Amino acid sequence: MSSPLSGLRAWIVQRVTAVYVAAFLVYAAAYLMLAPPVSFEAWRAWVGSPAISVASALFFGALLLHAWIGIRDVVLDYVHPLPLRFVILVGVGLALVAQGIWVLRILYGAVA
Amino acid sequence: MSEAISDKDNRRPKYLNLLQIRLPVTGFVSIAHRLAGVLIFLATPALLYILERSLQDPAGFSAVRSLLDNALVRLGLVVVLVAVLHHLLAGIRFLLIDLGVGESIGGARRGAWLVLAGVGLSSAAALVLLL
Repeated sequence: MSSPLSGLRAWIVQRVTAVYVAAFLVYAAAYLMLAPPVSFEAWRAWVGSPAISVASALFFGALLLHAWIGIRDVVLDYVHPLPLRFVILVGVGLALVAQGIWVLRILYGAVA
Repeated sequence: MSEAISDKDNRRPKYLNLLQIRLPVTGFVSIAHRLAGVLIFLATPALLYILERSLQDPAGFSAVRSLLDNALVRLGLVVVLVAVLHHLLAGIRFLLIDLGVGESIGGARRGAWLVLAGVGLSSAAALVLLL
């Protein structure tokens, strides 16, 4: 059985997303600490700028993918009854997809 | 096979009581990396709400400002921040181990202590900056 996100592929995706999430997080944290947005306009302009909005969308995509693989690993390790495992994984998956759509709405609002 | 197990073997303590297990530092860093990841996953909706509100309109931006002045909210954010710092530094350690850096027992232990020291120092710096 080979699902698109298991085994070696999941292992690689987990590491690639980790590197991107870490790099973006360090960059954004350093930028916001050195130059904190003084006003709503400045904050929205920064988030809505072409580079940051695209990089942020990628960041959240990578973060949610990373969260799916990580939480799935934890659930598979500690939750053994199959029905419970199924319910939790479906719930986590739906929550992550919903948050992905939510993030797109937030970022689209900052760009528009 | 079972006859081969001597009385001495049977008397070996099995510390399945989690409170009695003394986890090696590498094990602690590993399980804390998992716990921190789950915590970050659970905190994400709240962080997204703060992000959304801050970008909605000037009123939302100042609402977030005053929300972040709340001591309880700050405490929660500090907990999430420490979790992020641990997840980040322990994660970098795991990536280095994948590359063969710090793979020996001694190297893995030194790396684990380095992660904990880094989390402590960066958390202290963040506390000074934020509170």
